[in-house]
Amino acid sequence: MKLVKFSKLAILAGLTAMFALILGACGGDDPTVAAPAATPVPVEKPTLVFADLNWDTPLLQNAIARAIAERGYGYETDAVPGGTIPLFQALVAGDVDINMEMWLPNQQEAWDVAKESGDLKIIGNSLEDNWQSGYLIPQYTADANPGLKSVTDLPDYVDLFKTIATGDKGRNIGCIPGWECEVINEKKLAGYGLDATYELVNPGSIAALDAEIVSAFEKKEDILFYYWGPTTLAHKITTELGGYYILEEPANTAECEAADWACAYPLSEVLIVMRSEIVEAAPDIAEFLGKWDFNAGNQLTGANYMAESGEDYPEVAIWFLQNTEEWKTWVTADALAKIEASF
Amino acid sequence: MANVSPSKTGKRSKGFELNGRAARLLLGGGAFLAFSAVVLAVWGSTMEFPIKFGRAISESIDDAIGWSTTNGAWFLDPTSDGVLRFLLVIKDFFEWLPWPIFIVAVVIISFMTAGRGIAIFALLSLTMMGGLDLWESAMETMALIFVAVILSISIAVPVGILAARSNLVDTILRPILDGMQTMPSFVYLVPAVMFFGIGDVPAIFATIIYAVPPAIRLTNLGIRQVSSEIVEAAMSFGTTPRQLLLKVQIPMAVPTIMAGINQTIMMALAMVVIASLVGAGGLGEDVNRALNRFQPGEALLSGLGIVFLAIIIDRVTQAAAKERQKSLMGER
Repeated sequence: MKLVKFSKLAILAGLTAMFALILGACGGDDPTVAAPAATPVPVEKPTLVFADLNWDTPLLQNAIARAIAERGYGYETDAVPGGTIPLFQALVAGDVDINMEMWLPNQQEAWDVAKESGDLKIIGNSLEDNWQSGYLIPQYTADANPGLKSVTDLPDYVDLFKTIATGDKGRNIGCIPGWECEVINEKKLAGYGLDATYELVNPGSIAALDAEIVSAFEKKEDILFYYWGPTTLAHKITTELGGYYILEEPANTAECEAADWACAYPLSEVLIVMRSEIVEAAPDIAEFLGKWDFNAGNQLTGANYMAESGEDYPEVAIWFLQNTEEWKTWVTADALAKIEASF
Repeated sequence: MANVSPSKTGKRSKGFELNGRAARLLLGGGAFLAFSAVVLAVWGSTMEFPIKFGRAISESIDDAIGWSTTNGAWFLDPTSDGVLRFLLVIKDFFEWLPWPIFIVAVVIISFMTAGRGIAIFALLSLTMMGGLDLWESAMETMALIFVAVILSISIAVPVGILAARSNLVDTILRPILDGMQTMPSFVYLVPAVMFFGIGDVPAIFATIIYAVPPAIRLTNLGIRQVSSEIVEAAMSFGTTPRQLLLKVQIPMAVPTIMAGINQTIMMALAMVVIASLVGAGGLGEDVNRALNRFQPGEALLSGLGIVFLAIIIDRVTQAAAKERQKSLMGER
C-alpha cells in the first residue's frame, strides 16, 4: 500500500519535472530568440507586402521581386493572396504595399478613383512586350478552314462553333464576369455585327476557361475563345497542344473605341503600383521596381522551369536569379553583390 | 488522486493497475522526450521528409483525367447533352412562365402547405425580387436547382435503399458520402469542366456531388427506422420482399426521405455561386459578377434573392414532410 502511494507521488513528481523541463526549455529559448531579434528591428525598414494576384505572372514576378528585396536590399517581405478586386481594395486600404500588375484599362474605373487620393504611386511598367487580348481559334481549325482569317469571316463558319446550349448561334467564349473585357466583348460583338450569328458565353472563372480550352484542344474540337498573353496556358497551347491562331482585326483607334468598337483590343498597360508611404520608406525598392523590365521571355523561362521541375514559386525565383542575366541591370551593384553572395 | 485511498477493500487491484499505467506513461513520456531530443540534436527543427511522392501521384491523376476526357467522350458527351437538353426544357418553361402566374402558384402552394405566414412572405419576397430586377436570374437559378434536385433524388433514393438493405454497401458508402460533403468543390469543378464543357452541366454535376449525400443518408435511415414490428406484421401476412419494400418500408420512410430532400435542396442553393464559377447563369452569376466589379450592394441583393428562394422552398417542403408524417401517424 505504501508502495502504491509512493509510486503515485513519484509519478506526480516525475510528471511535474517533465512539465517543468518542457516549460524551462521553452522559457529558456524565448529570451535568446527575442533578444537578438529586438536589436535589428528598430532600423526603420518596413516589411513589404506584395499582392499575390491569383494568376501566374504576378505570382512569379512577386516571388522574384521578393527574393531580390530580401537578399539584395535586406527587407522583410510578405504576400497576401487574393483576386484582383479584393487586393486592389487592400492596396487602397494599406494592407498591401505593392501591386506588380495593375491592368489598364481593365481596372480603369477603380484606378481613377484611387489615383485621386494620392496614396498610390505608379513606379513602372511590367509585362511590356505581349500580344495582349484577342479572339483565338486552334491552329488545326485554322488549317482546316483556310478561309477563316479574320473576325469578319466568322459568320461563314458559324457551323463550326455551334453547341446545344447556343442553338443556331456559334459559341464565342467570352471574358470573366465582371471584368472590363466582358463589357467590351459585348460591344465588339455588336460592332462587328456578329450578334446575329454568335453568342457570347460566360466561362465563370479563369480556371474554368482554361479547363474548357485545354479539353477542347485535347479532343481536337473547334473552339472560338477570348484569351490574352503571355500566359502559361497560351504557352502550353503553343508547345504541347498544336498552337493557336489569333483572328485578324482592324487596328485599334480611339475613334473606333468611341464609335462601335469594331476593332482590336488596345495594347493594355500593366503598371507597378506602390503605396506612397512605402515609396518614401523604401526608396531603394521604388528605384529597383522602376527599372523592373519583366517581359514575356522572362515569364516563359520561369514557367518552363516550373513545369519541368515541379518546384513552387519561391524556388523558381531563386533558380531564375541564378540562371538568367536580365534582372542584374535592374538592381544596384551593391544589391547584386549581396544577392550573388547569398546563394 | 491521492484521496482515492487504496486501503479500502476492492480498490487494491485498481490501485496497482493505476500504478502500472502511470509507470508506462512515465516510461513512454521519457522515451518520447529522448526521441525528440535525438531528432532535434541530429537534424534540427527543419527536417525534410525523406521521400516525396505527391507529384508522381498528382501527375498520374492529371494524365488519367486527360485520358478520360478524350477517350471517355462516348459516355461523357451523351450524358452532358442529355442533362443539357433536360435543363433547356425546364429553363424555357421557367422563362416562358409569366411572373404573375408563378407568384400566385407559389403563394397558393405555400398557403396550402406551410400556412398564411409563409404565403404572405412568398408574395412579398417574390414581388420584391421582380422589383429588384432579379426575376430572370431567379428563374434561371430555379431551373438549375430543379434539374440538380431531380437528378439528385433519382440517384439518392435507389442508392439509399441499397444501403438500407445491405450493411456492406452502407459501410462502403459512408466514407464516400463524407468525402463528397467535405471535399472542397473547387477540386472537382475543373475536372467537371474538362468532362462536360463549360456552362450549366458541370455546375449541375458539382451541385449533385455536394447536395446528394443527405438524401442518400436519410433514405437509408428512413427505411432502417421502420419498426421491426411493422415489418414482422407485414411478413406474417405473406408479403414478398418487393411488396415489403414498395408498400411498407418506402411509404413509412417518406417523411424522413422528404427531410433528406429538403436538405438536398438547401445545399443545392448553397452551391449556386460556386456553380457560377464554371459558367452557370442565374443569381450566382450576378453575385460573381458584382464581386468582380466591387459592387457589394449588387452582390448582397442577388444573395438575398437566393435566401428568399431558400426560405420559401424550405418551409414548403418541411411542411409537406410534416403533413405526410401526421397522416402516417393517423393511419397507424
